[in-house]
Amino acid sequence: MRLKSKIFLAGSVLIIILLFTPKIINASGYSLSIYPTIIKIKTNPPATVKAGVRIKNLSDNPVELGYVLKPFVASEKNSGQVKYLLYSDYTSKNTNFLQGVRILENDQTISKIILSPKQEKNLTIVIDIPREEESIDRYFSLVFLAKNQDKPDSSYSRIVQGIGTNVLISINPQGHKAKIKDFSTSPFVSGGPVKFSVEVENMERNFINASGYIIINNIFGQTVGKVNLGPRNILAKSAVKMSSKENNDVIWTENFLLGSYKAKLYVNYDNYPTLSEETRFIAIPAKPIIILTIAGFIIIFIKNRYKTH
Amino acid sequence: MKITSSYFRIALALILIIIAFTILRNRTLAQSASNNSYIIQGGEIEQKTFTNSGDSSTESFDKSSDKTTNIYFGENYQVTAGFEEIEDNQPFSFSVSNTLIDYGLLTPTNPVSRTTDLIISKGSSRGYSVFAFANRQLSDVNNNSIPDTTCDNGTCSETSSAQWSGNLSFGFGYRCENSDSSGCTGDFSKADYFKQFANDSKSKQYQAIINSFDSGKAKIEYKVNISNNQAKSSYSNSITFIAIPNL
Repeated sequence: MRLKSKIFLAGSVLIIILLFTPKIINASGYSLSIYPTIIKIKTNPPATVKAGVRIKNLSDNPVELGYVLKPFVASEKNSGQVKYLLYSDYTSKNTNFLQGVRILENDQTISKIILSPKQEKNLTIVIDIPREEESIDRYFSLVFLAKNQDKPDSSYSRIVQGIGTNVLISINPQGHKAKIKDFSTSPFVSGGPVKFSVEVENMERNFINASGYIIINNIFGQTVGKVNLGPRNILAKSAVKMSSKENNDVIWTENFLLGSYKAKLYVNYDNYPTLSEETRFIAIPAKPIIILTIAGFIIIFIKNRYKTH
Repeated sequence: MKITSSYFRIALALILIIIAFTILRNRTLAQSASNNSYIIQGGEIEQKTFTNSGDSSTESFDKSSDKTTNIYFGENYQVTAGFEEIEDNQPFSFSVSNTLIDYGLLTPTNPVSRTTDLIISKGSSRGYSVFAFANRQLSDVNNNSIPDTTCDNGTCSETSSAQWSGNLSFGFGYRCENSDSSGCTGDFSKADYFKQFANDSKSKQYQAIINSFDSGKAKIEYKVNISNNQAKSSYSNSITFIAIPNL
């Protein structure tokens, strides 16, 4: 009897645990890729612009994708990020322009696509730009969205995965003008690496592509270093902090530095004359100087000791 | 006296050698020569020709000729696909480990945490951002909703983070943790710091939760905790993650 009650108790506990343990639905995720990572268009309307986009399902499950067009401006952080406009900030011009954008698969306009596992599709973005279109830049992201349709009984969040590419359009592009907004570094350093701050401002109404490099000369005028800057697209009337080709900062990686240095920045944009700016910094290797001073004192001390002997 | 003098000379010579070595080391490494018209750098020998007309504003340089950017033309337009000066044409990819987050049966003052891994490969982009937003608060069919968390001190929102560790702080929120070098924003550098998702139904600005130059992996932790006053029900919403290359 006691054994039976124990079994009953254990069984009850097991049933309660099974009932109240959250059911884990292992809805495996999606993996998508897109190319190109940016599409830049310059047009003098009327034009029906066509540009290709490749989208691939990297996962082992089929996926259905919808798409949205999201207009953006440059982020205030000047970091090259985009900042999406809120729906409430859409103007009728935004809306009208986006209505002229279509996605084609095999020359057929589509609103969604289905990708089998590992399947890749080549799509075409078609943008109708009428002659009377205002001569300003338009920027939007083409975002493909994958959504799980499962619906569990309990509380849940459905994850929507989006991957996109940015589309920059200059309509009737005029002249470009840019300036170096900031080129600086710490005036005194004790050693390398040396970090530079480089910010370029686009002063006109059309986006530009800027790149460049920094040449560093020592006190004798010899070139002792070079830092290549990666390309950046700078939207109209905005500024961007430049980065090196290798990482997000502009860093001269030389470690041992001594004396005065001159760094000269060259920025090139859209085949316009190169902009340049200079900055100087002084490197005083505090650690070796301290070591040498201590060594000097030790020598003097030894010398004096021998003198007294 | 003789010994003292020789020791002193040896010490002096050693110091001179050290000084000479430290000063000249820089020059030896650079192995370069230059004037106004050219630069020759040793090691990886590289030559650049500058056209100098005397005015620095008109200096120009020969852009690399090994571009693989696709530039093509149509009637009244020109398309450039990809970044200039980036030699490969690798696609940008984004993976999400799970597409449904099941919180199970929610019980008061028992926080539930779930995670999603986000994996981003930057391809031939110049860095990227991942934006996140929710379509609404966690809500049921009767329009009851679990509010977005305001964290322990009532200050966190979709733009600022705060500590959320107390079981008597209620709501729904998330945090982003770097699994490797991915760039979860600085809001989450401290443990137990959470934020709200931007609420699309309230026209809140989408927030970049990751901004990184390099490919990486991040873990998103969702947390939900309800009070005794919360109606027993099944709550749901949609959370969207958009990965987009930087400009």
